[in-house]
Amino acid sequence: MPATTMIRPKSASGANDEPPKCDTQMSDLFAPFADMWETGMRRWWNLTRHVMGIDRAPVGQTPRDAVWSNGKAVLYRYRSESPTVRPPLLLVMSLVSRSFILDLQPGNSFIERLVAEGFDVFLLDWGVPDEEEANNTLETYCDELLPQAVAKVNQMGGENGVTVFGYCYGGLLSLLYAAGHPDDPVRNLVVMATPMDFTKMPAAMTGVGEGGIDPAHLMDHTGNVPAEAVRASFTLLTPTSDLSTVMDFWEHLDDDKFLSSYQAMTSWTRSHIPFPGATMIQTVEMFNEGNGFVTGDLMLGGRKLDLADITVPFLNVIAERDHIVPPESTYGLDEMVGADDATEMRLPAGHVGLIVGNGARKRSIPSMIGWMVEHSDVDASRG
Amino acid sequence: MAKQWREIYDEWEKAVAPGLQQFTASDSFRDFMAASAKITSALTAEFERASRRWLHFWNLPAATDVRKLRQQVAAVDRELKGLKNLVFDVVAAAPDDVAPATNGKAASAAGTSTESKPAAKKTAAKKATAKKPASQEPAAAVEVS
Repeated sequence: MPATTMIRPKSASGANDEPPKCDTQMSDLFAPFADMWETGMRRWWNLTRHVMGIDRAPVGQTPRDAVWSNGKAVLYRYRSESPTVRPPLLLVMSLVSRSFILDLQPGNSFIERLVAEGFDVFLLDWGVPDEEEANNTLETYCDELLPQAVAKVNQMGGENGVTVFGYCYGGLLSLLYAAGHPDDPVRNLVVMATPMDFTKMPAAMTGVGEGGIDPAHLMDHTGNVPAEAVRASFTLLTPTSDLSTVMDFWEHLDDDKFLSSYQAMTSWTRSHIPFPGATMIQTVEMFNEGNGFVTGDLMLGGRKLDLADITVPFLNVIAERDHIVPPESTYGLDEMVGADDATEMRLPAGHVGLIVGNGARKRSIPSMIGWMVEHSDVDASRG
Repeated sequence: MAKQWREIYDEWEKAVAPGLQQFTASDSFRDFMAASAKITSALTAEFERASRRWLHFWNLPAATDVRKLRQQVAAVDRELKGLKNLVFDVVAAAPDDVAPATNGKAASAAGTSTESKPAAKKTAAKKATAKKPASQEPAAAVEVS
């Protein structure tokens, strides 16, 4: 005899017309366990695939083509069927981190958004330096590679000039380049989270130099500052951040979407690149010790630079919650350049939050795009 | 339960993080880092010197020998690049009918478009290939497209 007939109560008429109460109760009883089981299994699977490196979240997915290279520096052009905004936009990456942060994941990508808004986007990626780049100086980047890349972008973009957009240390390079090459076809200059007053930078960023760590002691056998040392300097800014990241990971391990974002983000934060040795020494002398932007003591290739020579429309994007390049170290850059049209844009974001995440999608990126569109020619008929 | 451990961690982090940040930003920590970097650097150099001696005794190359070679190759490569840039600059500065541009850098430096003179570019490239040995093939600035 089946168990149900034994348990189910019958109505007065004798018909078995009531819902099977006992079954419902049983399922209610086991529901939490079923949920726990499902969550547990998902956590286990996500942990396994994370540790084993299975099905890792892909990064840098926006289609692009390499259009020029010099040594390890590569210029990429992102595919776009009909760019409507002129001039083309050249993104200049920092020397210490990988460029895929600008194109993190579909739906969470600065570059993807720029392309969708009609920009003709180019990215200058410096590559990973080794012995060959150990002697690269600021002149290598600002007097050789950047002018060449700008010329190439200008040529491919129809000789309309170029909007140069530097991020972090890439902004510093862009500033030096623009000040040293005022006749180059730069139409707009945008710098984002770019250090200017080095006396207001965190100690972990400026602890190298006079009275601190001798830069020569940081160099490895390649003649560069190793990636681990670069990463350590960032970790020292927020010593508990690594542990907090692990806690976040453990807390949201059953969330597939979180895991994907976590993997993409940590693959960036944990893959810094070596800093070219000669550039490091020059940076320490010119900025950590000399605070060149503030004192005006900027030398490049034996000639004195003046930020007042930057006369093209200028935008300084500041992240108000930036712990790497604190806002106070970037204030006033718009007043130091010689451009009549110079803007300072303060955004409620962190160093990376300017271009990654919900805040970036809703506030930071639209604000920056708005400024760039305003300072460009938009051909609505081509869209 | 699930969130309890997180709350405990957050409380702990809130209590500890500011102090840690203050410590890592302090002068004493900077001095400690400077000293440890100096010691690490000295110890590494000493170890390398000792192991190099030992390996050289057995007529074996040490890592430092390989490193030196790599640095020399890199230096030669840099010099080659510099020379090529110089050549391209000279070529770009010369009148078009005398010395046509051979790559993007030269073309852009001269303010001309590479697409505008495909035939001249091809001829120049052919000449360059015929004259130069294979080892000198990679250009300083490469057109990838």
